Amino acid sequence: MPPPALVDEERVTATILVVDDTKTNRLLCLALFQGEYRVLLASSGREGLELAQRETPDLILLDIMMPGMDGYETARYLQRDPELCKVPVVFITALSDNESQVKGLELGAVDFITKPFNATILRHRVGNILERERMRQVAVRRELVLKQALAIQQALSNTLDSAFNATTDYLAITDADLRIIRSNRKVEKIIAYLNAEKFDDQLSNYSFRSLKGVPIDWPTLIEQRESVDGHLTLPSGHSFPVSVAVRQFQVDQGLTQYLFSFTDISSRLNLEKAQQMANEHLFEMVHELTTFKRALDAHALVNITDRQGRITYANERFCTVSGYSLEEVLGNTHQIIKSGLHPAAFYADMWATISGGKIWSGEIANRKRDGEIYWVDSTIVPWVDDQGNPYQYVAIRKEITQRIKAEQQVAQARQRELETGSAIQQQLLFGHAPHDFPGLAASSFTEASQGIDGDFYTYTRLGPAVLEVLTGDVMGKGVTAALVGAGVKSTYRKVLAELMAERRDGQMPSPEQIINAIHRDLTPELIRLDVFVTLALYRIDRDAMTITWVNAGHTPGLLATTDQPYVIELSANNLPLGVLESEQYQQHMRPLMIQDSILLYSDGISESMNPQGEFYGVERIAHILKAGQQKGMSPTIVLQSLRTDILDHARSSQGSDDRTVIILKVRPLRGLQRGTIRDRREPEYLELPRQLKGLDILRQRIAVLAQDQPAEALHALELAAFEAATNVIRHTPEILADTPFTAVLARNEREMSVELIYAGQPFQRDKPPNPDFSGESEGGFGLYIIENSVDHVTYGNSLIGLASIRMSKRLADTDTP
Amino acid sequence: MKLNTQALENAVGLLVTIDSENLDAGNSKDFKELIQPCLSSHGLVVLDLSALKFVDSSGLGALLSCLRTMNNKDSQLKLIGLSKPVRALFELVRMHRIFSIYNTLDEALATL
Repeated sequence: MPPPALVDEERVTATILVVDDTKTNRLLCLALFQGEYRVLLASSGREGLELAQRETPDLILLDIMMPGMDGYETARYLQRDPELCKVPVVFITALSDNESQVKGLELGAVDFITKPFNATILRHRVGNILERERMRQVAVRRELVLKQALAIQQALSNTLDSAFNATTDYLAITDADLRIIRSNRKVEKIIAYLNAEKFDDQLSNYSFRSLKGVPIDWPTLIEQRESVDGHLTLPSGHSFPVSVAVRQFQVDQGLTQYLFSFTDISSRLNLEKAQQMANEHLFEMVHELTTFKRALDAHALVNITDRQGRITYANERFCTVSGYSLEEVLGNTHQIIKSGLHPAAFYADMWATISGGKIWSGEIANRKRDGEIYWVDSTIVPWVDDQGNPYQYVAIRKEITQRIKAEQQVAQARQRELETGSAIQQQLLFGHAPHDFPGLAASSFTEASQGIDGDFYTYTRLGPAVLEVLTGDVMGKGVTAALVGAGVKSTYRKVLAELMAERRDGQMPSPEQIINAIHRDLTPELIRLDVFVTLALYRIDRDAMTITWVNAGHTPGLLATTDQPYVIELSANNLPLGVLESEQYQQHMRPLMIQDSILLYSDGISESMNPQGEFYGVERIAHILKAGQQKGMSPTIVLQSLRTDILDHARSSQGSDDRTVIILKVRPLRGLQRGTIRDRREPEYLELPRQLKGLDILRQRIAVLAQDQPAEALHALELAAFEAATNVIRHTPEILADTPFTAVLARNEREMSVELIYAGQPFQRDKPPNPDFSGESEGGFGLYIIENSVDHVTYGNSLIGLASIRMSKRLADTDTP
Repeated sequence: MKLNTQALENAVGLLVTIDSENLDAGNSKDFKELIQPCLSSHGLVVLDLSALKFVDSSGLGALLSCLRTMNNKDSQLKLIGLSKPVRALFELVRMHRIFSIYNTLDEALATL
């Protein structure tokens, strides 16, 4: 709103309303004022009110004595009107009494003119009243304008004061002599805070230095157009950083004053300092990173790929090693260096890991441009965005081709060592079970866990009726174990020879003498090598029918004998060789009977583990041994049963430890001539390989068994046995391919028989065989031939894990010698 | 296993003599491979089994295979010189009705 102007109003022609019921008076007034004023005429109070409300006259001449609404009443109405109450009213009346005049004045009349009136006086009075009214109105208007101007000034002053005090800057106003005449609260506060004794109003007592410490005096500062940064020092000695700006302004009578504005710049300076330190730190980091990168580039193959696997960066070393130029690499995927040595799943796993935002590490074979393979130890780090999605992958690789090559060479060397050890083992460690020892059958097998066995054994004939079995286990593996095993065996032979030579009576040295001699020879060496050997020596004297043994910490032997329902454990109470030099080894002895079976095993057998971690255990070994002994089975068959059962238990052909089993069986003595009637009660056991080409021996032995029988009968049995053996071989599970099977050839007074005992499933024979005789089919005759060639065929299970087929043919009525 | 072959004197064909004591699971596969060229190149093959003392079902199957090969190309296979056990097997599985079996070469050729 613009402030009201204090200019004189334009003088307009005043309007006079004449209210008189007398026409003469009205015309007289009209004549009197017309020309000078605008004259409105009303003949009654009511008409006068209407005209007044419509025209708002400047003066009303009101006759008192009128019919209807008289002058007083009209004046009362006018009084009530907010606008018209200010209009001056002049009563014109014939009444000249004081009472009437008082009444008129009470009703706001400004004058009283009695009739008959003098025209000149009336005109002057009216002129005076109008002039007075105009003056009053001007005065009222002027007062209003003044009030408004004062209000505005007050508001401005308040605003200035607020701004002056509310600003965060330190403001001070000085006069021309730099005496502070006004300052804001901020200044007062800081001065109070700094505990200045008294506010010093002379600015020249304050000093100012630039940020660099150069003093700047106040007149110089006043001349500066821009603000100046520096340190303001109070008379008290306190100093703080400020930015100073000075404005000069004029007050009354041309007096000059200065407005000083001090802005606290300590925060800004701190910020700048922090910024500078951060910059310096950043610079150091960049420098450090540059050094790191140089080191990394010298050492590793670095490249970066985008989300799609395209290479966007590769360092020099990457190019040098791969043989590709940077141009060839950029934009390509890793496909170009893919070696093809890893399965697809390997790469799939890698991508799944890094695209999931995780770091992948591993060894990868890559292919150079020239086709050569190089190995790298790789770490791929995904860089992820705010949402955790990788947007690029940084791969850092260290070439390890040399190391991998070295590892391969070591592995080859290790394999060679294993092969060497294996060869030593086969040639030196395992003796062959004697097939022709009178009154004794033996069978053994060993199965190495990892190419080289710590187990060893040997059979030694000490005389026509004395057989010794030395068996042991070196604690350890590899070539060392094999060599120690071989060393024990050769020491055994040496000791045996020496002891024999020492004795003049031709007697044999006892097993305990032998073991103690080996112990004296070997234990110091074994202790030095930090190796020990479990060892057991069993001597069977077929004439004396005894078994004598010494057991040096080896698993105890088992004996199944006819007069005992349970298997006997042959006691073992000495320490292994290589433990204690002072150990004295002692022997034990037991009588033997015909049909007794002895089983020696290494702990790899009893500790064969199934997938649930359960040991096979000695009880199962003993059970099979006893069953075989009771059924009169040959060692070969008992061994097969045991092997099958262990395989069934362990569900794996190889154990974690070597497995060795030796079975010896005491048999009746018989003549050298096989096939005589005297010998026919004792069956012949044939160990047959599971190979179709290895069955000739079966036919040859059947020919001996049936040599006194008609050729047809011989051929028929031969054919049936051959067909059955072929079937056994053809249906061998792969895991048993190297396991032999056994043919038992037997005769009694009435019949001759061939029984095949094998690990595996028995034949399924649900209905009589019905082959195709038309010549269209080339097979399917086997079972038919078997069943139609012999008199009886029996399918069954003879021992645990073993199936059997027994074919028998009645003897012809021939005279036998 | 060895096979001796010679052209027939009085007829167009081949005489094949098995030089082995047995024809069984151990050598029937070898036999099939060895005799295959003889069968494919001749319209008449006389197979002399007189050396054989033992034939099992696999050996028999091999001989049946030879017979079918010859029959399929309208050629003839004749067996001669079956020993007693071999004949016994043929009779056991009734193959003596399927094969043309003769005692001697002359008898075999006389039927032509």
